[in-house]
Amino acid sequence: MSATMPELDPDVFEKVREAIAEALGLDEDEVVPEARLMDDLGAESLDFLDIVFRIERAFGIKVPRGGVESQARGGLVEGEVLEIDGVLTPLGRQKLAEAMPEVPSDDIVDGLKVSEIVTLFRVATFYRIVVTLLAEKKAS
Amino acid sequence: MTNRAVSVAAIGLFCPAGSGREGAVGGRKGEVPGFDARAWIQNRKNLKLMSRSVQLGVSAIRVALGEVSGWESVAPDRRGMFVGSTPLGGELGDLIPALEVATLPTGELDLSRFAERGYPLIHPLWLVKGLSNNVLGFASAIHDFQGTNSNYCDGEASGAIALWEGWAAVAEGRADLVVAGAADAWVGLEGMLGGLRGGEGAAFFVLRPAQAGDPFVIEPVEDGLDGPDPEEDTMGFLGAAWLPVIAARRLLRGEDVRFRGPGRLGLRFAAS
Amino acid sequence: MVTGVGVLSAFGRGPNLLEQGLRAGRSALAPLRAFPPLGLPLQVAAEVDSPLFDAPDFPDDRKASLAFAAVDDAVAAAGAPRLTDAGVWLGTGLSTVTVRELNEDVMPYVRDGVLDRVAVDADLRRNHVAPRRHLPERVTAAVARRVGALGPQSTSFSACAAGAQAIANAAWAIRRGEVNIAIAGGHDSMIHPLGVLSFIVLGALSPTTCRPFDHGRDGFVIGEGAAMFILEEESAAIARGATIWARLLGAGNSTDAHNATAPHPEGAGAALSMRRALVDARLPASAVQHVNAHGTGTPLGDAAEANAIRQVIGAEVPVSSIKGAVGHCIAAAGAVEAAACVLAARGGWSFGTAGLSDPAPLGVNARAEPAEDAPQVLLSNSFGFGGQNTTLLIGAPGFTPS
Repeated sequence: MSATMPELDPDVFEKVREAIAEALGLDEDEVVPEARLMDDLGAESLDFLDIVFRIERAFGIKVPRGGVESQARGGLVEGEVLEIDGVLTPLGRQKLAEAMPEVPSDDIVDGLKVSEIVTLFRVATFYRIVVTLLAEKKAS
Repeated sequence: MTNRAVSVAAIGLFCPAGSGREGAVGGRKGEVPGFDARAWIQNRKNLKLMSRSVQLGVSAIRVALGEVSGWESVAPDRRGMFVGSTPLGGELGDLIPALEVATLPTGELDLSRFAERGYPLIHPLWLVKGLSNNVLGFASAIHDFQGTNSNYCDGEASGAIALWEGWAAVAEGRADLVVAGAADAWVGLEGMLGGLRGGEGAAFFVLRPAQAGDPFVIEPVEDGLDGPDPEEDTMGFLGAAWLPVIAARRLLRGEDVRFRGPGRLGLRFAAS
Repeated sequence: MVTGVGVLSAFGRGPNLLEQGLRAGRSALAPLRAFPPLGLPLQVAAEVDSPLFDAPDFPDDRKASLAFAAVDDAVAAAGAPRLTDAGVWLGTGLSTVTVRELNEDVMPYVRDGVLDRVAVDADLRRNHVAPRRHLPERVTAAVARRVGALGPQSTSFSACAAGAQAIANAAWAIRRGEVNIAIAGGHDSMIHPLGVLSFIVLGALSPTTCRPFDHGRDGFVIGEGAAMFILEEESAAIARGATIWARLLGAGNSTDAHNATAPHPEGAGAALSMRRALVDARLPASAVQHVNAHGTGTPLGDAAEANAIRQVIGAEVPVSSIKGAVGHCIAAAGAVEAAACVLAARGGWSFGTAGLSDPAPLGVNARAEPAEDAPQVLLSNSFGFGGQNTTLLIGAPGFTPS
């Protein structure tokens, strides 16, 4: 099944794009919603820290500790077994696909580890995280 | 132990007087004129993590290697790198936002505020950006150098030590190609705080077992060492880079240079 | 030959405390004392609890104090040999700019959030300010003056490999006849707010504890320390009747040439460093009976190192890391851990891995418990941020390669 990109608020997306472009030393037009952070844009684990830092500063939000992975997955629900020994269960993969519609479901393979979730990240994933945190900030 | 003869295949130089052969004459204090790191360092992500001195060092290494055709035939684990540098930690100026929010109206710095409010304002890679061994780290990654290496932080002696150890690595057969030199920059905040009229510069030498056609040769020397004086070129304080920079300038002007290594022995560099 | 050792670690001052702690399988990690926890996401640190004197030229400089204490102890342990011709090779880390110094030296020049360079320029005579005060070579020179050593000096800075690299450089200098005796080691302390914070924002510190090679590993614990060795050329050591603590059999180093900010996943640079050490020592890989891993307890680092160890040494030789016991001593780590290897080689035991309870399937024999197994040859790895790798091979005093 193909991915579904979120509808983009241009102001928010512009800042996300700028943060990612600066962190990765890229031109902004390379930073498109579908682009995979690691495989397409060359991001590594330290770059994720940089991107999060810039996003936090740009939007005045805080990405909670536990990292972007849990943000991307929309958190865990009590009682659900989503991973065993660091590997996602079928339920875990299903929940991940629901939480990350910008990722084609084919990418969420059998045997995917929790530690590998960052490899799935698209630019749109960061956009979605920002939108969620902005909404939470507004609500509180 | 029989040492091999060692020659200098090329020199990469950036200093306040200019770059390459232009930089060999004249002298003025301050920055390397017209230095644009982007001309030498393609990977902008790497560039982001390089302080000024690291940019100068990595660029000078690229220039030097660029003048040695066929150096890639040396196996990566036989390529060595020896660098003299100064570790000043992350750029202190980058900490200003964090320090500001932690400063009480009295002007005192409040540690709890620093930890609580300053923490989100410290860039995650602040520590990484400051490492002086980034010259070695980045240059070895860019040019695939996997061999013997050292990064020396011995203040103004660093450059001489790096050149000496680089020579020794080739002479003793521990490497077949060595990049040796130093880079430093004192024109920024740290230079000002250090009470110095700052200069900056980088000079790196490509050393290898003596080859006909290489422009300069090296020989070990013992007594009567009368090395250059750090003040002789009046380019401002060059920190760890002064000896390789002055040595490079002399050689490019057609002069000899000799200096001591870390112990009682020294080296003489001369036109071949 | 190692003829004297001085070491300060979280177990305290002196090799005996380090040996007792490691041999009993204890950990010296404890709640942070140097400054209030300030709500930072860390629980423990590995601080040196011994009183240290403040050297007059080095106010507020813990790195310097640790170095002086260690070298005093090493010289005494070696029977106070003649050091006039000795060389000094030290490895160290970043300047210890304290928050107080930042406050005094930087903040007065900040106007409206920006550095006022005109103001700075007008006050350039201050040569005592923080960045100059803490330059690493000042300590190396001071150590040399302290013991009267007039030989060659150098200060290695290769992040977490620095201490080991300094020892390697000294060993090579002795071997090529540059000196007959050397002081070699490392010293570091980043246990101050700026140091700790800079590691936290990098995501390198565990919020709980250090668990090398464990399923649950999530970073290292910050430590501090110093270790200094008296190294002597063999015949010179024997001639003066020195006690041989252990043999420094060889050393190797390499650069990853992969990515300055992340380790090579297959551990290629690490493997090269280990192989070069074996070549340098003229030993086959099968001679190694224990591996002191760099083993920081980071998810990627331990996995990459395990790959390298398996390739070069194999999957059976016991592997351990003492960073769960003495923390990560940053630039001093290579030296402090070499000291542990010397003590193990001399005493006929080997250390385990404090913090390891649930070994991850990394393909090496990561061992949690210490053992009284008399390893004849230990291999010690230190890998620095930026891709510099150094490996030392340490042998029991009676070991002779066949």
